[in-house]
Amino acid sequence: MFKIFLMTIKRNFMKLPLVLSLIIFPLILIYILGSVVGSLQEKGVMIKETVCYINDLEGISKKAFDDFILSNAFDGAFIITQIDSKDEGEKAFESGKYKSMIYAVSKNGNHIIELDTVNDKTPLISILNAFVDTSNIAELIIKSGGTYSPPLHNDVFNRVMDDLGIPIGINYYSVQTLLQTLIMGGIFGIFSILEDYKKNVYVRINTSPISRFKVLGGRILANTVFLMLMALIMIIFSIILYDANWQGNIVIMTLVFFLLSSIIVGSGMLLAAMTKSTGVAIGILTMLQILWSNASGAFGPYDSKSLMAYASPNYNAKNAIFATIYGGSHELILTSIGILVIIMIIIYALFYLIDRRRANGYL
Amino acid sequence: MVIYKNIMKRMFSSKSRLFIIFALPILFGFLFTDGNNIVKVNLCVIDYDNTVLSKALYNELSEQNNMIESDEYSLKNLMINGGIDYAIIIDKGFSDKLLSGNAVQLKEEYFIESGKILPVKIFIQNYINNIKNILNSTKEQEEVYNMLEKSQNGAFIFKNNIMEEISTERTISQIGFLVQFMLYMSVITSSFLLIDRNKNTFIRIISSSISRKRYIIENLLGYITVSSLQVLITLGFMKYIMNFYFGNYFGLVLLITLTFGICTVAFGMVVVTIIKSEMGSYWAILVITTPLVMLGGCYFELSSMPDWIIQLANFIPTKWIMEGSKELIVSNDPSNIPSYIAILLTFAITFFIISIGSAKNMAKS
Repeated sequence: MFKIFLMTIKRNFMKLPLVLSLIIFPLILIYILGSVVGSLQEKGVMIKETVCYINDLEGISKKAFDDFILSNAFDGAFIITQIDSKDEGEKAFESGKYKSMIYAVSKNGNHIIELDTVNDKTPLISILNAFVDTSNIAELIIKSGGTYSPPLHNDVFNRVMDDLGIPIGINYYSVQTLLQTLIMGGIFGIFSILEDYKKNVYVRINTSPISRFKVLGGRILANTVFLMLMALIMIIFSIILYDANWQGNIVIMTLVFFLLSSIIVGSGMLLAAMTKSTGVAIGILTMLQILWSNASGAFGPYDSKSLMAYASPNYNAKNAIFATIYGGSHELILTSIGILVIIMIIIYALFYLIDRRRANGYL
Repeated sequence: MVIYKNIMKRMFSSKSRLFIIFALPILFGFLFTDGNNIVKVNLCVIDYDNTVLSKALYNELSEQNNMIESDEYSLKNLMINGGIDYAIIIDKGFSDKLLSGNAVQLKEEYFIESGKILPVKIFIQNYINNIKNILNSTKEQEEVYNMLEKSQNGAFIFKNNIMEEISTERTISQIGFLVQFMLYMSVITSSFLLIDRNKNTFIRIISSSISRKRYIIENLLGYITVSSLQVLITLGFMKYIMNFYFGNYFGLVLLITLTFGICTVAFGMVVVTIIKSEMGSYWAILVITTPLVMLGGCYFELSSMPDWIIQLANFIPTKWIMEGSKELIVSNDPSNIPSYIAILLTFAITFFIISIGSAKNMAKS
């Protein structure tokens, strides 16, 4: 088994263009995503909400509302466009060009601020409620002979922070991109199996003293260790080049990468055993790459409570790694590792069943 | 058309190949349509004070945001796994301090001070400041509750109407996935060329009465047919079965996507004729596709990126299909579509020329 292990590692390293691209490509992607997309992430929104705004208020309220809505304070999450007429705004809103429409009008002594929106939890509701409540209270106070003072900026908040840092920008994408790229390593698992089928290795195995278990075990271990080596090289380069934060518990991170690598290798082998076709197996592998990466937040906001998130090895690996680096609880780390173990068992159990049937079919 | 017929037969005889070419893009339509791209705040408020004022603040915030229940110990975990964006902790004694005219502070926890949590902070700041102002003017704690109640019937009125969504983002996002699939599939379909070469079928063909040119052209027609079917079936399913919104120019969306399909087929042929090995081709397309779709604006808005990336994107075909789709679906503006189609055809012709040159070398070897 050890000889098969060494032979597989050597064979993988001989595919030099693949090895180099597995290291270089994610480093380039980390830079693009971390520095470029990271600036989007710092605002917390990948896609801003488009809003059209019509102000038909009268008196001092008109300017006050203009100053409030059109200040740059909301640029981080909204693209607010002022429109001249309500009809024009309604037409654009109904066509889907805007997610929300704010229409402010003075009528019969009242100042009505109407929000039409397709997003029932848009933060615009907080903004507009703040304006309305404050305006009403200011009016009541002034009518009763008092004076109203606007709020001092940020005097009521005390941010709780530790010195472990936060996962945004390069720190976020160095982990996410590495996890996303490792999935491509499943291709080594695919070729391990398909070469056996094509070269009738199973026939020779059954006439030799070496068991199928040792052959497969050697291949699985070799491909897993190979992917872990690739991950280690990428981590080292991301620290040297980008000063990425990987200061978590080394034992935990090693275990997470071992589990993730073996899941990826197993997935490749399972796909190869199921489909018997390189192209189809790789096609499904790329779909898994999109699915798992999306579920872990590599492309933008995601629903962290969805089944797809929990079933994604990337999501659980990301949680365990971020927890050990940024001070998450032991429970989160243990849960994430536990789920990775379960996914690994399921994949290898399925592979065992399908490969055993197929191998027997060759005899 | 014997080569063409053979390509179609090989393509449609494999159930797994049919599944990934036609069924997977549609499956993605079901999996990624839950509107994760809307702007909303996942907020956690931990109220240790439990008084009328703190509960009123909690209730207001819960009407405006997506509330997540948690204890203080689990907040870090929730921020790590993306469960919450922002957390507020109201300490015991908050209301007493506020009503006594003393300074109050709320503990807050977040990773990113993003544009979307700012509205929440503004609302809380205004809520507290309003109470301070009422106290300053009346000097009586009881009057705070009266004034807060009276302000609900003030001259300023807020009305919130939730409308049915015409989701352009959902459609654009789905087209982004389809673009990615089309790039991947370009090599999977064009790999027949590699299989023919490796099994010496190509040599047998060109030593027959079938010319190299005819072989390449019929292969191309076959791949274009499959790509076109992929586009027609996927977009048709999206519009007529899943009711995705395509605006007023569905026909033009189809046309520009079909043109992009021709471009991806040509691109796939470049990859297989240059790389020459099956594993290398698949690997190359895996490696190339992710930056192509990201720089093309399939996942992120290009306008937010630095100028040099926006300029670089002009040389990437994915940018033009995404721009065209957005202009047709979001802006309802078809004026630039002829030029986008011309650009995509230019890419396709360039790739064809390169692949034909490489195929000649392949034949010579």
